[in-house]
Amino acid sequence: MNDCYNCSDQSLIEKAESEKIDLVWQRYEKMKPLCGFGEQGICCRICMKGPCRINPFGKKRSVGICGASADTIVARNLVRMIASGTSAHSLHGKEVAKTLMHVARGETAIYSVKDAIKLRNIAHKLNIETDGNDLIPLAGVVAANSLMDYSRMDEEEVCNWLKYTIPDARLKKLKSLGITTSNIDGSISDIMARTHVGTDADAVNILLAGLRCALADYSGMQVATNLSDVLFGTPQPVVSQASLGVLRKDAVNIAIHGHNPLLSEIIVDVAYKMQAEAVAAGATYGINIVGVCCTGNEVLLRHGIPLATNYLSQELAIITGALDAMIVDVQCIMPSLAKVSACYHTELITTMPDAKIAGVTHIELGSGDSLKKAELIIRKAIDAYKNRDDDRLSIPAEKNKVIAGFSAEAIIDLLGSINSEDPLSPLIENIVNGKIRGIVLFAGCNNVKVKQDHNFVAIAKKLMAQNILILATGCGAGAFAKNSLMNSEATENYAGNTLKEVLTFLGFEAGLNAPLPPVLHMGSCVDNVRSIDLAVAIANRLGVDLNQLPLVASAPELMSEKAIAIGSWVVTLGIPLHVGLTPPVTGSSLVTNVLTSELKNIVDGYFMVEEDPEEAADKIISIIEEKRLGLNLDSSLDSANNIEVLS
Amino acid sequence: MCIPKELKFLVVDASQCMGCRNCELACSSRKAAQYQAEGILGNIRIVPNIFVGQNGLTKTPAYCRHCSAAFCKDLCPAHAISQENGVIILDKDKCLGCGICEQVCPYGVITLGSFKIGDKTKTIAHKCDLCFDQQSVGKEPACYAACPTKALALV
Repeated sequence: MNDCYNCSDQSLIEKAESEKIDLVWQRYEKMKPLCGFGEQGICCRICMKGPCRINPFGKKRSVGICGASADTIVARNLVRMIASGTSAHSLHGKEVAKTLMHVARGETAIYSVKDAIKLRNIAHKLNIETDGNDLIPLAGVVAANSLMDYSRMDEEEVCNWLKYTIPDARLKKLKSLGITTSNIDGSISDIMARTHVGTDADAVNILLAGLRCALADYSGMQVATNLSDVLFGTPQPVVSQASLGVLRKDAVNIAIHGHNPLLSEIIVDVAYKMQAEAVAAGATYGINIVGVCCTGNEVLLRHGIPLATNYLSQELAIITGALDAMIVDVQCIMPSLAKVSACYHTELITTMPDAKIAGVTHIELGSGDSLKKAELIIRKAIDAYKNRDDDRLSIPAEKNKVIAGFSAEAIIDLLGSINSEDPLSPLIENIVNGKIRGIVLFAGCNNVKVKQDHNFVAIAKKLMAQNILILATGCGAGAFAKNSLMNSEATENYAGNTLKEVLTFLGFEAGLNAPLPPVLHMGSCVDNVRSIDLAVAIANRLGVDLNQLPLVASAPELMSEKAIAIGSWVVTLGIPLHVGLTPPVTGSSLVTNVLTSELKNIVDGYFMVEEDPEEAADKIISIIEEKRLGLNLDSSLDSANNIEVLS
Repeated sequence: MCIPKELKFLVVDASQCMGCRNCELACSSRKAAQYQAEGILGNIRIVPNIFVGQNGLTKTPAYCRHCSAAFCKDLCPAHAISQENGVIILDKDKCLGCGICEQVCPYGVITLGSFKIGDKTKTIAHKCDLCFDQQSVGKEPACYAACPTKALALV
């Protein structure tokens, strides 16, 4: 069986094998057997009396040394994953908010407010008085209101980025459950405190705190995405290319990898100015910046920079022999890159004080001399280019056209070209008349346990054939971009007839002279909130809550703690979530039951685990039809007895 | 060797194996203690006599079955492997380190290990002895004692 769905990626795995370079797939095989206690979430390392593990086959219900049951242990481990994911996203958001504050105070010459309209829209959304407020002071107020979400002491309050971004009905429900958050950082420390030995042992209470922390994750992501738009511009539709074929033989190839646009934006700006140096070094094309992972998504959406690859195949960018430098910031950077890059001429450079790799060149960006340091980084790439070994060069021919840049604003603008009075109406009318059956958001990572990108592609193709519109972010978006599902040809080839009709109409109305792609690229993983903004706009327009919309989310190849955090807030906002791998909770039937079933009675959303992509697609379609029925829209489910009549 | 008659043998219920590799760790720890006593700890790679493998979702340990018709015993040119009270036992002093037993073991649980004595390198085979020294004083084999689910059982 191939390790990657994408044939170009697969060919490079074979190259690495012939060069005896271990990649993530070999390391996974060597790691087997994976410990079942960890897999089921019943290994507890929280104190030094242990570690304890619960025997899932024991006749008597076994407990840890302190008496913690499997339910307690599983719940504690899960919410700690949520807290870690929340930390990652919300720190990213905090850095962006602090940068906006520096801009407002005139403390930085590197960054500025690039999207004034977005800033004013945010101020309006956050209920901040905008009249008479000049742009820069307004930036300061918006930054302060955002940073307040990290520091508020009054626990009765609700984070600005939560209460002003979800439907009223949802906010009321979350308040009634006591799971709104007033302080993002506070919610994370609450999790760490209550999961300390001898504190919260009630699994359900722990899980509820986990949902609150997940909402903190949501709030931090809202800060990250929205304030990044202010600083760097709100994405608009842009045409580019994806897959490892975007690397060029005649260029100094630099990959930017990670998640934080604060750094990649500097590299992009500086690289444009240093083209002549690259040409002088012999690279006739100059500098070719490519993206990897979510930094790649950020710069694809804002600059049309081609996307080389997503998470799992990050090492393969180096295996092409064409990558002269890989510049990394935070999150999802495999430490293995150090060893793989050492097998080639590739310069690997870390740039963040909290994300170093031993033995790797570290050039810190983010301070006053960032521009000079960025120049130094680019110069290192140009020097590395001179050492490139053409005999080891293997750039795949495949590169696929991508239409990306579908922020919620871009989608609403696009629809506004049809009906400027009520921009959402063309989308809503087509959902009501059934030409679009519903919307599915694909998010989340890659995981070495499934053939890379296969679950994304297999499920999405089946859904679009059933006239379901697809939104994508993060490495899911990377999967669709790489595998040619984000262009007009994909609509022609795979969309169902009525979806094709709508996408063609919209594409021509928007002046693209071609159908819109069947999968709309909404950004990096932190940008999942863009899809929520769109869903909230639709829900508010219809006067319903999010759980009533024919909307399902899917993370078919999830891997990281961030994905667990996102998944948890998705269900808390009322949206059913499909996951393609079983999270580490099966050691507790109580926790498993709460997540997959009981949650539906509490917050309307729930986790649906289905590892088979074909089955998953059927189940997602069935949920969409169930939601349509709930809204009294035509549904393939028989309203009399709720029996599925679809296929 | 002096193998007691009442020695217990290992069986496994694969459905209860969690793949935690505690058995491997316990076997290795016991070996480390033995090597220390022999003065060769640090001079030889520690390889356990039990290996947990995974195929799909199934995880299970491979370990010496102490075959009644044991290829390793029958084919050992040095007659270093014998059968006593049902236990297939290796006499390290007789072992030449030729590796035939490693090659013929149908379970892949005999390994070769080398260590230095002066300027010479000695290679010998390693195989499970059911921790007979432990069992003879009423203790359990290391792997069985360490198995948290008792997927390994004694018969």
